[in-house]
Amino acid sequence: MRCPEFRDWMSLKLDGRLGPDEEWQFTAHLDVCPTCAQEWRLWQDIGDLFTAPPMVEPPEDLAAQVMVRIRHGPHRGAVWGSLALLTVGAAVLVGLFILLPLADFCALAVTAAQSPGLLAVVVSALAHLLEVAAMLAEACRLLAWGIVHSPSLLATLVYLLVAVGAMAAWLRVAVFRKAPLLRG
Amino acid sequence: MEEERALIRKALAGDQEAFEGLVRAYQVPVYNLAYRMLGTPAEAEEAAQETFLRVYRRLQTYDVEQRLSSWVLAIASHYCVDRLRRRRGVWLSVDELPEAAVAGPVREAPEPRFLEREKQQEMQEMLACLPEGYRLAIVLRYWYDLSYEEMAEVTQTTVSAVKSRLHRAREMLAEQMTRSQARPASGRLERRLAGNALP
Repeated sequence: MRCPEFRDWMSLKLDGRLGPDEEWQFTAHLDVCPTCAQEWRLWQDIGDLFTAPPMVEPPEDLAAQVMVRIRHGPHRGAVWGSLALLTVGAAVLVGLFILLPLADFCALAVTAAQSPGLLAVVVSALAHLLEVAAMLAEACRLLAWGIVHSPSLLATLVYLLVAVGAMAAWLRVAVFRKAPLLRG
Repeated sequence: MEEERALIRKALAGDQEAFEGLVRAYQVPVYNLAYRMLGTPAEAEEAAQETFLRVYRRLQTYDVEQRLSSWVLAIASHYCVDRLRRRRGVWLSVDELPEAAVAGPVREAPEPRFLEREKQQEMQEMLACLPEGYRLAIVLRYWYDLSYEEMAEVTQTTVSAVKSRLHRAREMLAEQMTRSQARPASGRLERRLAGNALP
C-alpha cells in the first residue's frame, strides 16, 4: 500500500474500524516505511492522551437551577401573545416614525427652496432625523426587553400601551420642538 | 431503560418531578460535553441549563424510537457549536484558559492529582485549538465512546462526514503535538518539570 492510503487509514485504525485484510496491509506498511511508522506513533500518542479522559462533576445545584428556570419562565402562550403585541406596537411606531417626519420634511422642503442656506438646512434636518431614529431604536430595544421578560400577558399589554403612548407623545414634542427653527 | 421511558412518559404528561429525574440522569454527560466544547465551568453551566430548557420545550417533539441520550446530546452539541460560532473571532489564547477551568473535582482519578491536572490542561489546550466541528467529533468519540453511526445521529450528519472530521481533527492535533515537541521549553508541563528538576 502507498503512504497516502496508509495515512487515510490511521484514523480508522485508532477506532478499530479496519477489516482483517486492511489490518494486515496496515501492519505490513509500518514495517517498511519509517516515515509512516513515526507518524503512526504520533497518532498513537494522541490516542493515549485522550483515552479514558476524566469526567468532571457538574455543580450540585444544576438540576435545581434548571427546574427553577422552567417553573418561572414565560409560558408559550404568553410568549406568542407578547410577540403579537410587539408586532402591532412596532407597526404603530413605524407609522408614527414615517408620518410625523414626513410632515416635517414637507415644511422643510418649502423652507429650503426659499432659503439661501440650503446645505445648512439639509444637514440640520438629517441630524435631527438621526437623533430621532437613535432614540426610537433605544426605546424599541427597551420595549422588546420588557415584553420578553414580562411575567404575564396583562403586564405585557399594560407595558406596551404605556410605552406606545409615551413614545407618541415624545415624538410629537421632539418633532415640533425643532419645527420653529426650521420655519425660521 | 424502562425506568427512563417511564420518566419520559410522565414528563410528557406534565410531571415536572419526572423531568427533574431526567435532568439528574443526564446532567453529567451534558455538562461534560459543554465543558469540553466551551472551555470554562461558567459557560458549561449556562450551556447545560439552556440545553435542558430546550429539552423541556421540545419534549413533545421527541421520537421515542430514538435514543434519548442521542437526542439530548444533539441539542447540547448544537447549542455549543452555535455558541462557539458566535464568539468566533474572539479567540481565547491558550494562555488565557483559566487554571480554574481544570480545577473542578474529577471522578475516578487513580493517578496523582498533579499529573491528572496537567493531563486535563493539556487536553483542554489541544481541544481549544480545534474548530468547533472537529472539537465536537473528538469529544463525542473519546468522552462518550460513541460509534460513527451514533456520532452521525447526534451531529445529524453522515458517517462519512464523521470519519472525515475525526481524521482531520487528529491531523490537526498531530500538528499541534509536533509543534509543542519541537519547543521543549515552552510547554507548560515541560516548564514545570524543568523547574522541579533536581540540581
